[in-house]
Amino acid sequence: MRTEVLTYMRGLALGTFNVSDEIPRNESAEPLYMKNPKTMYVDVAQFEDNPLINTLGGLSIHAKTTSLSVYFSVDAKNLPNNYDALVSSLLDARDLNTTEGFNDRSAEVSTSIEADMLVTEVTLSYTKLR
Amino acid sequence: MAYIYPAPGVSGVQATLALEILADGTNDSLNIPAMQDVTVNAANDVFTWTQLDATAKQQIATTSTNSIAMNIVLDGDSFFGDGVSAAGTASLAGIFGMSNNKNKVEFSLYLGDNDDGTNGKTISGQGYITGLAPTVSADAPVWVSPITITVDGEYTVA
Repeated sequence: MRTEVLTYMRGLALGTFNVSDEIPRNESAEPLYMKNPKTMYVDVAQFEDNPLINTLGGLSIHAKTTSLSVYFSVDAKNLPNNYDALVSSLLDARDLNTTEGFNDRSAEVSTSIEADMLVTEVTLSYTKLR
Repeated sequence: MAYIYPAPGVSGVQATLALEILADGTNDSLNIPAMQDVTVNAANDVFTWTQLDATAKQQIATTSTNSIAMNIVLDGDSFFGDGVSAAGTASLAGIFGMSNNKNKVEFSLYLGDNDDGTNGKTISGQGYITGLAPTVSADAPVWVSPITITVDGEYTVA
């Protein structure tokens, strides 16, 4: 799923933003998005498997959720003109892969201030049964 | 104490329900997979009367209305039939077929065991499959259905 999200992001109207293939942290666990503002990083996929239906037999049906987080930072005092449009487009990535059988899709944006940078995290979640 | 606690997935310990068409003349039985819950209803009716010499009502238990209710996750072969078993059998008809055909079925509900043996109690009897209502939703896109076995007569416990 990470590859699909990266491909989708490269197709957006990025303006002065860039998309990196790297994960968001270097070998010292430092966030690369703080070193490289306006460069978007996609973390490795996280998986969560929760039981949806348990039965009295050996069968149980699980909901497997794949989550991906996109990170980037911008100057907090001077937001790029296309910031809102870009975040909105990133939220639309929840609708990728419509033929994969995902029955639940969600996207969430959170921001924080670190130093004088606005850090944006977009979390995309895709759930299917297995 | 010897609590009955069926262990899901453990042969001889898990709760199981087998159905057989009464008139099929074979030993074919259909094991119902993926039961979510089972309820054995054995509620006696009550006849109530009053007497002039008593300050409380008199009551006596009369006949009971028996049924077994459960919810299952639909399995293609067991719900619609496996398509290969002998004609007239439960395995060929499946749950939906037996309900449609109004077949009288023999049921055998094994409650599960309280150890790793096969010494648990079995409730059996005869009845009809009623109350099918398969449903699916976007939140849980798995077909599930309630099933009621309307019991004709008494339970047998062995």
